[in-house]
Amino acid sequence: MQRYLLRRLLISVPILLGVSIFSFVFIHLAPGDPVEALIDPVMRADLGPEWVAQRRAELGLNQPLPVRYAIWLGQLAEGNMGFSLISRQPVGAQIQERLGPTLLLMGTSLLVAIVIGIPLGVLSAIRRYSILDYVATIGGFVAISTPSFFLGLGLIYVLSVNLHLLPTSGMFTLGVEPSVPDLLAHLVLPVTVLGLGQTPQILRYTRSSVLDVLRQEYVTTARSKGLSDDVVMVRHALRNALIPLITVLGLSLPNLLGGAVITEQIFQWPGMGWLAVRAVNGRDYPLLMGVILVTATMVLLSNLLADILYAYADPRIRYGD
Amino acid sequence: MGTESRTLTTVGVGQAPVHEAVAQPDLVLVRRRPGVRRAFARHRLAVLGAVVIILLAFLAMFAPFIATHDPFAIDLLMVREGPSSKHLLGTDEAGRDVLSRVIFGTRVSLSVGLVAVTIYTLIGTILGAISGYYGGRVDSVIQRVTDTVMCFPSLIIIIAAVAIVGPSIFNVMVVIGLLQWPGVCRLVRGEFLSLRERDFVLAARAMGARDRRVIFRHILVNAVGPITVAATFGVATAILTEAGLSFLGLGVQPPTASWGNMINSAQSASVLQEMPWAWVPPGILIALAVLSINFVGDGLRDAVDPRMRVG
Amino acid sequence: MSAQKFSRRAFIRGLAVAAGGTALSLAAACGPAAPTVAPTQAPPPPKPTTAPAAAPAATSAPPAATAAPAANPTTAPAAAAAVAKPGSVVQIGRRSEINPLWSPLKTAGGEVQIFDLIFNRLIAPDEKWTMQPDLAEKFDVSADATVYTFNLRRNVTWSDGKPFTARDVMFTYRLNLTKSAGSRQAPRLLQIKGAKDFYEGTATEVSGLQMLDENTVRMTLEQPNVSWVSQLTHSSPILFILPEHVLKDADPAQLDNHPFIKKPDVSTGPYQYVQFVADQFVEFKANPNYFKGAPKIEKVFVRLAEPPTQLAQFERGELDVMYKVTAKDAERLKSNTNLSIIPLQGLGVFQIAWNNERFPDKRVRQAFMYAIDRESLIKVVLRGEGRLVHSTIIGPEWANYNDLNQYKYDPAKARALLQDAGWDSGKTVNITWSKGFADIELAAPIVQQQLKEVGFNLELAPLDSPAYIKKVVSEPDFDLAWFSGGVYALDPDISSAYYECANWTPRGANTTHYCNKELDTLFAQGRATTDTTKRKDVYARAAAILNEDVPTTFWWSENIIYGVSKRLKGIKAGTNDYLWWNIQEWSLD
Repeated sequence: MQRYLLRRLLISVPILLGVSIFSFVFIHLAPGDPVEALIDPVMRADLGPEWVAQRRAELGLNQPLPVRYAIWLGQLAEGNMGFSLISRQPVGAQIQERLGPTLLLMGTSLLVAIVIGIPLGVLSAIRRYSILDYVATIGGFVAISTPSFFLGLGLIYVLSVNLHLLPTSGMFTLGVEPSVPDLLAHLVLPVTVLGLGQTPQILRYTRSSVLDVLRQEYVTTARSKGLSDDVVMVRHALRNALIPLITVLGLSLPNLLGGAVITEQIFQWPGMGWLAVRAVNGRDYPLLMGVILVTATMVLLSNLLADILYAYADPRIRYGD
Repeated sequence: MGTESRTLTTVGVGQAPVHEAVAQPDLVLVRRRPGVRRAFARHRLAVLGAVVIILLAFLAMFAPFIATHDPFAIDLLMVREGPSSKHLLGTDEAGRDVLSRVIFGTRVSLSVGLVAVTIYTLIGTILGAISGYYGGRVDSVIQRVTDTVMCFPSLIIIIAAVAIVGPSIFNVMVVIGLLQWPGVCRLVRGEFLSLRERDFVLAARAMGARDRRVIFRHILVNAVGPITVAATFGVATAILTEAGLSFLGLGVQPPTASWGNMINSAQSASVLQEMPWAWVPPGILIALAVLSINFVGDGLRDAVDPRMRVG
Repeated sequence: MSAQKFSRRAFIRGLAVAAGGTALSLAAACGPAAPTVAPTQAPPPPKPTTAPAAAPAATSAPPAATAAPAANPTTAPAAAAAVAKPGSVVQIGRRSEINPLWSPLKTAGGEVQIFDLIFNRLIAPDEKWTMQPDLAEKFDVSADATVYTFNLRRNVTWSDGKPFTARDVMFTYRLNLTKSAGSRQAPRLLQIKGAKDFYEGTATEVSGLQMLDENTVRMTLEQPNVSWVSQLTHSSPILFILPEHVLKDADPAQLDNHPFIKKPDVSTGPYQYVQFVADQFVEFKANPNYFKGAPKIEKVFVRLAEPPTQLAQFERGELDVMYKVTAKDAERLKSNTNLSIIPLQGLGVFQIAWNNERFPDKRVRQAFMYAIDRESLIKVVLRGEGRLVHSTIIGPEWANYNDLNQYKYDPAKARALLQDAGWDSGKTVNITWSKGFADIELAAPIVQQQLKEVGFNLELAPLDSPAYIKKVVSEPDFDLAWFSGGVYALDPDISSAYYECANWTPRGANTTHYCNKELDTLFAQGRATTDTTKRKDVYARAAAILNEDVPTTFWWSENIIYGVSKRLKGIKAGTNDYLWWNIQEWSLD
C-alpha cells in the first residue's frame, strides 16, 4: 500500500502539469482580454488603442503564450500564484478569503444531505414500498427536479421577503457586530437549497445498497445465529452502505472547494464558484489558473482517498502492483 | 439544486452515481432470468414512467401538429396575458403562446440530455470495463487519464468553449459528455474490480471463456444495474443542467424555446409572482420527465439485475 | 468468523470517515465565524473648529444643526449627535462587478459611484443637471470658450486635516496627463494647451494649466469647447481631485500598487472609505468636516449583488436605495407602502450601430427604422418608462428637437425603401450585443420578427463582454451592434465623439465609421460658442443630419428607476440620474 500511495502522489505532479498546460492554452483561446473585459463597452471607445495597449503591456499580456506560462510556473515554484488582473490582489489571498465561506457552505450542505439521506435511505429500504418509501422517493425526485435558482429565489421570497424570518443574502448583517447566530441565520437558506439537491442521490443509493443487503444469504445466516433483527439490519446495512458512501464523499470532496455557482450568486455568498465564473468572464488568467490548480489538486487527493478507502472497505478489491 | 449537486454548476467536478459493489457471499449463482418484460410490468411505477416518456417523445416528434400556435410568433397586443380560450396557457413577455413553446421545448430538452449522456455513458462504460477487468498497468493508465479529465472544472471549460465556438446547446452538451465520463468510468471499474474475483467469473474462465465473453456476458450484465441508474439519473440531470445553463446565459438561446430557458424567466420577481403560467408548465414538465425517467430506470434495474431476484 | 471481524473493522472505518467528514465541515464552520469583517468603530466626534464655515452652495439649504458646531466648542457633543446619528446605516445596492481597488484614474464602470462618495470634482451637477460649484465655488468661461477659470473654495480640508488648495488640482491634472499613469481622462485633457507636449514628454509643464494663486486655477484650451468641463465633471471619466500631499512622490506607472490607491482614506467628500469586502460591500463612514455640511447618516454601505438578489434585499428592507429597478418590477413595487419608486429621465440612448462601411446605403437603415414598431416596444420592453428619441442629440432641455422624422411604424414604406435600395432578402445580417442586457434580450426576438416581415433577416448573436468589445471596437468586424448607455443628454457635443470622422474605432468612439464633413463642421461650431441660442441652431441642423442619415438607428432613452426606502429622507430627485448628489442631506427616520 505504501508503494501504491507513493506512486499515486508522484504521478499527480505530471497530471497537474498537464492539466495546467491544457487549461492555460484553452482559456487563452477565448477571444478578448482582461483589459477590454474591464471596461464598460459604451465607455471603452473613448480611450483609444494606445491606452489599451499600454494597459496590456503593463499586465504582461503581449508576451507569447509559452513565455507567459513559463513565468507563471516559475512563480508558482516559489509559492506565488501571481496577481489577479482585475483586482490586482494576490491570487492566493483571493482564493484564501473564499475558501472558508465555501467550505462552510458546501460542507454544511453535504452534512445535511448525509444526515437526512442515510437514515431515510436505510428506513426506506427496510420498509420498502411503505408510505415512507414512496414519499421519500417522490420527494427526492421532486427535489432534484427543481432548478436551484428557482428554489433559492422562491425561498428568499417566501421566507425572507414575505415572512421576514431570515435574511435574504450575504454572510453577515451589515453594520452590526458579526456573530455566530447571525452567520447561522444567513446559512439556513443556501444550505437548504444545496442540501436538498444532494440528499436524493445519497438517499437512493443508500436505499439500494441496503436493499441488496437484505437479500443476502448471509443475512439469513446471521439471523440463524440468533442475533436480533435490529442488530442484523443495522450492522449489515450500514456496512454495505459504506462503499457507496465513500464514493459519494469522494466525489463530493472536490466540490467542497469548488463551490456552487448559482446558489452563491443568488445568495451573494462569497464562494469559489462565483469567483471562478467571474474570472473566466473577465479573462483573468492568473486567477483562473489558481482556481483550476486548487480544484485539480483537490480532485486528485479525493480520488486517492476514495481508492484507499475502497481497499479497506472491501478486501477483495486489490490494486495491481 | 439537482444541477448543482452534480455537474458543471459546481465548478469542480462531475459526479457519478454511487459505486454499488457490495460484498457478496460466494454461493450465489447466476440463474436464468424469468422474462424481463414480466418483471418490469410488475413494477407499476416504471410502466407509468415509460408511458409518460413515450407520450413526451410523441409530443416532441409531432410538435408542429399538436401545437396550436407558432412558438416564435410574436403578438405585441397580447403580451403577458393569462390563460384564455385563445391561449390555453397564456402568453409570455413577447406575446408568444406558452403552450406551443412548451410543446416545442420538449424536443430540445429531451434531445440535449440524450447527447451528453450517450457520450459519457459509452466512453465511461467501455473504459471502466477495460480498466476494472484487466487491472494492472492498463488500469493504472486509464485511471490516471480519468483523474486528469476529472481535474478540469466543467463550468469554466464550458464558458471558455462557448466563447470559442459559440453558444449552441449541442456544443455545450458535447463538452459535458466529454468531461463527465470519468464518473461512469469509476463506477463501472469498481463493479468490475469486485465482480471479477467472484466465483462465477473464475468458473467461466476456468471453462475457457474468452475475455470478451466474460466481460460482456458475465460481468457487465451484473454491472448494468448501477450503470442504468447512472444513465437515467444522467438524463434527468441533463434536463436540469439545461435550466442551470440558461441562468448563466449558456443554455438554449432565445427565441428558441426550451423548458430550461422558459423556467429561467422566473428569475425576475415579477414573473415569479405575477406570471405563474409562464414558468409553472415547463417546471411541471421537467419534474414529470425526470420522475418518469427515474422510475423507468429503477424498473429496468430491478428487472435486469439478477441480485434482485427473490424466490 | 472472518466476516464478523471484517465487518467490525470496516464499520469503525466507516464511522471514522463519516466523523472525518463531519469534523471537516465543523472545522470549516468554526473558521469563518471569527469575523472576516472587521467591526467598524464609531466615528470620533467632529472637531468643532474645523466644522464647515463656508456657506454651502445655493442648491442645498444647510440644515441648522451642521452650522452649530462652528459656533461653540462646548456644544460639540450635542452637535455630534445631530450631525451623524450613530448607528445610522444606509445601504445602497449595486451590481456585483466592482473593483474599487482599481485606481480612480483608470476606473471605468461602477467604481465611479464609489469614488463619488469620497472624492469631489471641480463642479458637479445638481438634480436639474445644472452645474454647481463643488470644490470650485465659481468658475468662468471666456466668451470664446477657450479659457476656464476656477475659483476654489477656501477652508476645505482633507480628512487628515491638511488643507485643500489649488496645488491638489494642479497635481491631479498633471498626474492624469502623465502617460505612464494610464489615466482614462487623458484624451479629454489633451484639449488643454500644451498638454500634448507634456503627455509625450517633450515639455515638463502644461502651458495651458496655470495656478494663479493658492485658490485659483486657470485652464486654457487649444480649441474652443464650451462643453469641455461638463464632460469632465460628469461623463464617463470623471476627474476626481486627489490629494497632492499623499501621492506626490508616487511613481505614476506604479500607482495601482500605491497604498493610497488600495485604501483611499484621505478625501474631501461627504464620506470616507473604510473597507471593501470583495463581492460583498464597500463601507464608508461620514466625514464630519465635509464642506457642504456634515452628513447625517453615520455609515453607508454600497452593497454588491446581482439584480434578482438586490431586488429581494430591497423589498425586505435590507437595502435603502436600489439603482436601476427594472420597469416591470417598478410597476409591481408601486403598491408597496414602504418603498418609493423614483423614475428619472436617463441620459443614455438605446441604439443599434451599423457598420456603415458594409451598409453604406442610408435607405436600408431608414427602412430598418420604419420596419420596427418602436412605440409598442417601449410599452412592452420598458413598460412606458422611457421616451422615443430621433437622434442622439437629446438634451439638455434646450437641445430637444421634436420636428425630426419620427419614423413611425410603417412596414410598407420599409419594404419600398428596401426594394429601392436593391436589398437582397436572402441575405442574413448579424447583430451582436454584450450579454446581460435584459432589455435587448427581450426586444431582440420581437425586432427579428418585425424585420422578417419586411424581408430583412436578422441573426441574433450575443457575445460575452470581452469578445463583444473585440468584435465591435478594438478589431471591428461586425454588421450591427446593439448597446445602451452613454450620457448624450448632458450636452449635445457628447454625440460628436461618436460621429466625427477623426474618431473612427479603434482610435476613437465612432464605431459606425460614419463620416460627414458638414456634421464635423457643425460640431466644431457648437463647441466654439457659449451663446446657447446659437448652439441651439447649430445642433438643430446636426440632429437633422443624424436623423436623416441614421448611421446608428435610434431607439429610445430609458428612464433610470430608483427604488428608495420610505424611511430615507432628504432625497432630491429631478432629472439627474446620479441620485446621491446631495447625500450629506439624507437622513433616516
